[in-house]
Amino acid sequence: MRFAEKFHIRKHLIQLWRFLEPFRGVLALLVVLVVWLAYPPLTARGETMFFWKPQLLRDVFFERSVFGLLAIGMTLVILSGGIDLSVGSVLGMSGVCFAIFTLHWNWPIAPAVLATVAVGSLAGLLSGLWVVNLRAGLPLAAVIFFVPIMAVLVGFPLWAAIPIGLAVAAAIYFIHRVLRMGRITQPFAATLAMMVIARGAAKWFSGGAKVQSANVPAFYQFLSTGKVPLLIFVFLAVVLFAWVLVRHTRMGRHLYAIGGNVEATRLSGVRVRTVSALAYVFCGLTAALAGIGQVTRTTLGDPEVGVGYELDAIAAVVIGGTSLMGGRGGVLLTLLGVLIIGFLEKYLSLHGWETWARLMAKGAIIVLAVAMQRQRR
Amino acid sequence: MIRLRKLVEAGAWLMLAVMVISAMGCSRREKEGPKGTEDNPWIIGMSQCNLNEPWRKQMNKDIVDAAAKHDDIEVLFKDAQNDVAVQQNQVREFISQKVDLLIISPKESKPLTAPVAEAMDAGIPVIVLDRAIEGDKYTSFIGGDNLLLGRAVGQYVAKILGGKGKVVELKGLMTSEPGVDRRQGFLDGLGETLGPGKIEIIYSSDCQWLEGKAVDDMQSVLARFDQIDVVYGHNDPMAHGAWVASRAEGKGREETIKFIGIDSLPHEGVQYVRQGILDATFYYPTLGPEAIETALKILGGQEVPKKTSLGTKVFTKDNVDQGGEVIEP
Repeated sequence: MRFAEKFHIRKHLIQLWRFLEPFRGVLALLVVLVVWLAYPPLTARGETMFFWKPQLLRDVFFERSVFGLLAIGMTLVILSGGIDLSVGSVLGMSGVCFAIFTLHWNWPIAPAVLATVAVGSLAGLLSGLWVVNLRAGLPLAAVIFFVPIMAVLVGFPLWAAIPIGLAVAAAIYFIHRVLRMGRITQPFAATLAMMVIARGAAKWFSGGAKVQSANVPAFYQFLSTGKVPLLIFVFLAVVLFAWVLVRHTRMGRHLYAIGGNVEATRLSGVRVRTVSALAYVFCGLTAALAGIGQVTRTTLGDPEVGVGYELDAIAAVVIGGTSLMGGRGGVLLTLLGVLIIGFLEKYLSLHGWETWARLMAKGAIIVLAVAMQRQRR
Repeated sequence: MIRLRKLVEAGAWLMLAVMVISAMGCSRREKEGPKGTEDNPWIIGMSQCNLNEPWRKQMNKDIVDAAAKHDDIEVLFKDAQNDVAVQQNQVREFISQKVDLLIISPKESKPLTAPVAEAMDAGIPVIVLDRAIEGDKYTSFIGGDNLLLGRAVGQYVAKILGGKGKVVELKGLMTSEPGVDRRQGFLDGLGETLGPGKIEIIYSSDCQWLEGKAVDDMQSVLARFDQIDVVYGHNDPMAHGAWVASRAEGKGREETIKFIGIDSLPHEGVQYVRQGILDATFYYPTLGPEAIETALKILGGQEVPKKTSLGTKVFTKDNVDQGGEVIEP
């Protein structure tokens, strides 16, 4: 009869787990916080540091704002069944652009922000068009992307840049047609290409050196310093916007549908290509915002910044509980993932864990998070 | 199959819990009473910008050795992995951890100026090492005299070339003061011998203090130029990297080119001179022992100078066993 008893316990445990399963993200965060309560880090004076200390809360949110922005954009793309490996490079490229606009060319802040967001969105658009393989889309995006950038950032006069851009676009179109080339369909491949291209663009625009100046506009301090830096609110605003977009609009539901079953969604009349491409545009947009955040924090435009950031963004999405195969998950889950990583990293850092140990811990959490995802039937 | 999966999950949770609990072993207890004693040591935070450069590994090691001699201090190390934003975060962490003193070797001057100011505002004295920050909101700055170093190198090069030759310069990070000063000092030291037909700097690039970048750049230099007389690396790893690239070329140029570096770590630069890889290396103190000394003075309530510049020596094949030759400013 011992086995029967065990069997009942196991059944109850399974029932408990099934009940808690939708909340496992929150549970994971609670576990981190409970461990923090049990073994709090100490200050040099021996005082305990709890996570509700305003300074700590601010630090965690502020440090994670940049990654958080990337993760939110990434969520939309992953929900639709894709992935965007280029966000780190687009962050670097947009950061360099913003730095050039505000530090070298002394543009006022509003146009600089708009232009930077446009650059990032264009990179996203290019990735997106590659993924949904619009035949006209590829040369179209090339024109949209290269003409203004060549003209404005590299110094070609506009009257020369436009014909050159059109010529490049025509060449791409004809090569595609004549050689009957295949199209890129894999998001992995398309965004991998964009990752490399955007990194190259960042180094090109910046001339290989860091973009900086002695006169830093007041906006930089406005956004990234102070008791509660504005960047945190920008991040939270984007979270809210993305949540509304994903949960309460038709486009959001279409994203889930595409991630769940592309064919069925296409057959039911949804414009799959448009919605998918828009997800990538949004991802590029958040990457640009993240780039602006990064530049205002460090007061310089570094073409090398952002290497590896895409993996952190994906980690946050996965830990939050969104499935990498698409169709399940959400923006708030990603926010949870960002917070879990944020509090965990802060906790381990305050306890003096070395970098290697922290990386191992993060890896273990990712494995756990993926293992706990309910398998698709 | 399901059973195995659940088992693995449970195992992973358990492993995580064990890792967390075992790492708590080094937690400190609540402290009462006066500071600066063996039971209640002063806590010093050390923010290092990266541990890739051998010179910085040595700096941390020297700080550990110097601190070990004193029971009343304990040093916490944070490595920013060469990321400016990470270093900013780590300084803020030290502030919230309420360390008694902060030692920092910043990656760049401008971005770290504000966090250091926050530390000063929070009542934490700050010692800045090697790369200066902007303004004067810090307690004490200790650095080598990089202008003196650069000038010494320039004068040495002018001497060994007899006033005529082609020089390749592999620079350190030019957004950091040592890089800027080592270049400027070099130009000053060459003085009149610098010019067309005399000593010419045929190539100068920013290799960011990294040996790997120096190897890459040197490869393209070797491909472009036939005549190279001297390679001046702002630090020994870069000079060594240039030597490695020259040897890999296979034309024997690693013998004909004279390589000069800066740092003189005993197991690195000085060894290279002994082995005949480097023609000369100029000593740049790691600042570790001086940092701890100054920290103890500050914690003891004494006045310390705002800026301290340490001198230098040169190691060549002739004097390497005698401990080099001191260079007067």
